[in-house]
Amino acid sequence: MSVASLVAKAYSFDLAANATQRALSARWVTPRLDEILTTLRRLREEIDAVFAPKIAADRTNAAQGTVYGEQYWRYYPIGFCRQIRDAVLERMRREPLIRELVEQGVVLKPIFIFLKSSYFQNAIQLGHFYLDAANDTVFPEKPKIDWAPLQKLDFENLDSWSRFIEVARRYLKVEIYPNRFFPLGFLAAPLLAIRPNGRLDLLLAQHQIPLKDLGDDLQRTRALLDDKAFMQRPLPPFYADRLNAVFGANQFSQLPLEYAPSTPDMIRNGVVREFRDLLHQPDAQTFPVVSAYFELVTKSVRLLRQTDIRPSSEMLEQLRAQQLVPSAAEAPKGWSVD
Amino acid sequence: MVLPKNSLGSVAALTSLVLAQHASAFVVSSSISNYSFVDETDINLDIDGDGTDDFLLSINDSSPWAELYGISSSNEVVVTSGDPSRIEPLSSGSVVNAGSTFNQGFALDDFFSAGTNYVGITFQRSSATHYGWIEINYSGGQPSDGMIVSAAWENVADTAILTGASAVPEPGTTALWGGLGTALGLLAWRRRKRS
Repeated sequence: MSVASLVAKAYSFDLAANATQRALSARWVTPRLDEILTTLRRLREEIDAVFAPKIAADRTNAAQGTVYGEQYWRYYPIGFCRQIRDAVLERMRREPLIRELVEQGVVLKPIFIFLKSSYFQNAIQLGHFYLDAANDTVFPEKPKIDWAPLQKLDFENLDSWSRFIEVARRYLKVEIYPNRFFPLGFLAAPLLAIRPNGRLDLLLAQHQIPLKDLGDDLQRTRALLDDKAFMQRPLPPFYADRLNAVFGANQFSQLPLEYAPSTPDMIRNGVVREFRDLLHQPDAQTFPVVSAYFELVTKSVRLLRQTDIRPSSEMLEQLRAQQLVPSAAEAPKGWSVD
Repeated sequence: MVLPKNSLGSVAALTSLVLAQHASAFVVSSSISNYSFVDETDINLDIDGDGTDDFLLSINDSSPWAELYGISSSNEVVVTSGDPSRIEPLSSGSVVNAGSTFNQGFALDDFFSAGTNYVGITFQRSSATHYGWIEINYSGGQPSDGMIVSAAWENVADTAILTGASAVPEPGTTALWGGLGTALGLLAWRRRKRS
């Protein structure tokens, strides 16, 4: 493994339209589209059956539901687009029909994109087609399967933090603030989010943008740091005070990332510069550190989530009135991009 | 290795820690052990206990099938050279590394009634490739006649592992990178077994 392979992996989740795939699809996929969609529906039914025991267990034990980020199995399929996509894709790879197509050169891969400027979307690319085996994971009344030829799809690949912030606000119904409190984490987790229930989280989205950034001298991170309007947005005092009270002692076991409130310049001249220097070192030295870094940040995100920083219900209402915390009205049950 | 008391504030500090960790490659025991297969059950296996399921084991006596395959496309098992859909039963001491023949796996048929054998595995952990093994004992010819005896993985990415290699406990290091994940994975594993 190398840093370059991590970058390539991040780009592999982009939806990639090209003439070769269009031609291959016209020859091999389009004539068998009905069969493919029938197969996809059957595989989705199989997956629902596999997940059924988890859903049942969660429903019978509501007090200790299985929590994955904001997800609860009892609300399945809401919020489970990634799990469903992954499981369906694995089964697709075993289907003789799909294998025939892949042997002809048709691309079959997972994708993670912005859809219609409104959603984070885990889906599948098959040649020049977009397949969504989890179309009901936001609105369960929708058909389980959706598809479109790429030329008719309104999509964008994940490639900038500013766009990410727009879509996250819209899709996750969160208020977003710059992570100026844990500067070492800024490269992979530059955003703090206040969820509709008032909980403060570091926001992740499958590391796609920061991993791409490793191949581009951290230009996306630097662009975000240059966004003065965003970077100067102050975290509501309740949250800033709580972070200081809980993490100010900087115990590694509590949170491995140092709590050190910083200005954009301090982040730029500190962790960003250090990482840019590191990325110019030989891979043997760089890769283990980068790999450990992303693991460290991911663990920190979980630990902050478990710390469960949120205000009292009375204060939450006050913060909502000031539009510093999202409204409760649209709080989603299980939308997550982790 | 001793855990740092204070949180990490710089890439340099992280680098020092990582270099210290890499000086001590070792085999980590998985929390998955002594699991008897259950008919008509699909169960997720989180080999490294990081909270992300790595493989799916599916058992069905009436179909019949016993399948093991990677949950993501980069998680694979060592398969037979003749048929990539059949998992290769490995004896103790077999090398699992980049030179092994991996595929997404599936059929455990060659393990039926064959006593104790090993499945060689590769999986992604923090976007790095790791190798490991799952020890499976089959006392009969039915899919549900098997059990996972134990499992282990090599903590250093891209490093070969020998099937059946003994785990060397180094609590400090595992606590640093895998302790929390292992604890969560163990809880999840117990919860799954109960359900």
